[in-house]
Amino acid sequence: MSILDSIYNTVLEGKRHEIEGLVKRALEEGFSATDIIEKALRPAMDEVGLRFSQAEFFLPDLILAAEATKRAISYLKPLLGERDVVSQQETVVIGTVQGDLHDIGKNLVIATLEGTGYRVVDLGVDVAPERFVEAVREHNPAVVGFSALLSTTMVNIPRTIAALEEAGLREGRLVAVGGAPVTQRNADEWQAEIYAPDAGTAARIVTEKLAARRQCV
Amino acid sequence: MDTSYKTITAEKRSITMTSRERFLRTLEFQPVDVPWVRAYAFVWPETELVWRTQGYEGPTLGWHGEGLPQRFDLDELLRVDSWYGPVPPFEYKVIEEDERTKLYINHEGILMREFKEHADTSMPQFVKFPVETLEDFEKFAAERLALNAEERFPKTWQEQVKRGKLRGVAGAANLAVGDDEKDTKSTATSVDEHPRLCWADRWGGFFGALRNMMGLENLCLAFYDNPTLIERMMEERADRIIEITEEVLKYTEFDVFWYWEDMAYNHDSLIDPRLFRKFAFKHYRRVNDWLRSRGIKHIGLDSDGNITKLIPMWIESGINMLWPFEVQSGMDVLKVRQTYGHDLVIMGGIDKRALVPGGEMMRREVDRVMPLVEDGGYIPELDHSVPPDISWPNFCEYVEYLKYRLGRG
Repeated sequence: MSILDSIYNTVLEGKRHEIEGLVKRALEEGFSATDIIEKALRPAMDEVGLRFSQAEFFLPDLILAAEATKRAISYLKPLLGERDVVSQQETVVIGTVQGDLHDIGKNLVIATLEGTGYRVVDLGVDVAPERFVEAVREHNPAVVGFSALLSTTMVNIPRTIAALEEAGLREGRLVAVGGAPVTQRNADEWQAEIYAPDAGTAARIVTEKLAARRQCV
Repeated sequence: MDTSYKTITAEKRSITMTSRERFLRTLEFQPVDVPWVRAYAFVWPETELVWRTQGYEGPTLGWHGEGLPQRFDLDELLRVDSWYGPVPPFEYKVIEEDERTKLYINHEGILMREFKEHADTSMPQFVKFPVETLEDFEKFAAERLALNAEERFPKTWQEQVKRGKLRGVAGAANLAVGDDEKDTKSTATSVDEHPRLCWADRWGGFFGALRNMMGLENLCLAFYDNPTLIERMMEERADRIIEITEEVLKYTEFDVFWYWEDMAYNHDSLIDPRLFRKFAFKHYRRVNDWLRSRGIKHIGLDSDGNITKLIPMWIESGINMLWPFEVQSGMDVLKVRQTYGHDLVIMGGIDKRALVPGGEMMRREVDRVMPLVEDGGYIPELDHSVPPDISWPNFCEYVEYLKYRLGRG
């Protein structure tokens, strides 16, 4: 089994304490940081997300795999050159909308996004539309993510999207929505480009949509 | 209210059994005079506020919908449990607050942030939990989880149980109130008329109780990183459930023991059922065997979400009743009956969302579960709490239609 396969399997098995040793070995064997991320870590996280969506993996598997990948990426990041594709990975600004203090789902999405190599700006919970506007202005993210747990608070998602539009910050970036009561139908209604039915699929869908957008540009 | 449906079915049947007889026969799949049904509902405080603008004029309903059984003249399941959680409770302490939220330590020792208004209808943010290590747990268990019968079974509780006057407010609420406030809501006339439930709410179980101490993410990781801690916590819970329930039995008999787990979300179990079984099965088995040795035949469990993969383990361990079968999480009580037959008594499973539009949609939903009423071992009720978008007229219409279909009105 190649070292990249070992890294892939270690992420799938959630063995976060073993990941750094394997990454070091891969580097010693001549693999670049980009190779390790693109050929082992990201495919592993995609697989974990897929298995979670298909109910083969459970919450702890997702948390452990994301943690393992995050550790590996932290180790590799200083080794990446500025022009490296992974270094240019887009930023995602994410938060739970105003009126809602729920953060478990959002934190899981952040873990998988970071595990996949995205730079994530977490605005926390109960985030007012104006705070989203400020953060988007400051970080210029490719994706803005909104989370809500309750049907009573998800109405603040379209309100926040409207605030971005009013500030002239909606265009040129993708809007992602999710949370227990949110459906694809809501996403379509709010013209959100990304809807993730669960935390496991969020990172994969973000990657796919960003890739599709790059092709269009 | 549309009552044109009354031309189509069900004639009113005579009452010949006590509520308790009816309940026990239902649980045993035996014929009954009329189906046992309660108007009990978890009513959000915000729901009650809305209902008061829509014609509801009765007493405060509270989270457990106190007063509804009398209003609709239906059955009741009296609660006789005490509190299975931390005693003495942690002192309520506000750490910081702003205009809209407050950060505080609750009675279970959890540091949480909550909105000041409508706190019950929005989920709090859990910031820190009292247990992270085995040492934390041993300290917590020694200080808060011991039997401590004097505090866990105060005189007020003893009196109320003796008089058969505990309703859906036992456990934590009773301990926290610590006076006769709840007693005033009672209208029970005979102890033997109503079946009795001992519900180890929030602390009677092997996942939910552990999550209360550690938080979901830490608990999930501990199954892999710290199995010794998990094993110790489960062992302690099993010991304490038996010890506290033994104490309850010194004061009263009861018909059903009830676990609380809430260990699934809308798609699946929160944890791999195979992993959970590895740790928890023997503890369920030990408690269930003990309950049966004390004559408790009916053992139920409360878990929201999609519990499909957890049901086989629970049944194998000796649990024979489940609630609430949330339809929006994919639970279908007809399929569950098809799979498990008479090995499982089903409570709940009526989609609360059908009450939002009400009318024909609500009636179709009630009609859907009627084959189970015929089959027995089924208690028709909503698949969890009543949110504020269900209007008071629609709720009344639902209860009246349910009664009609059951031959009770």
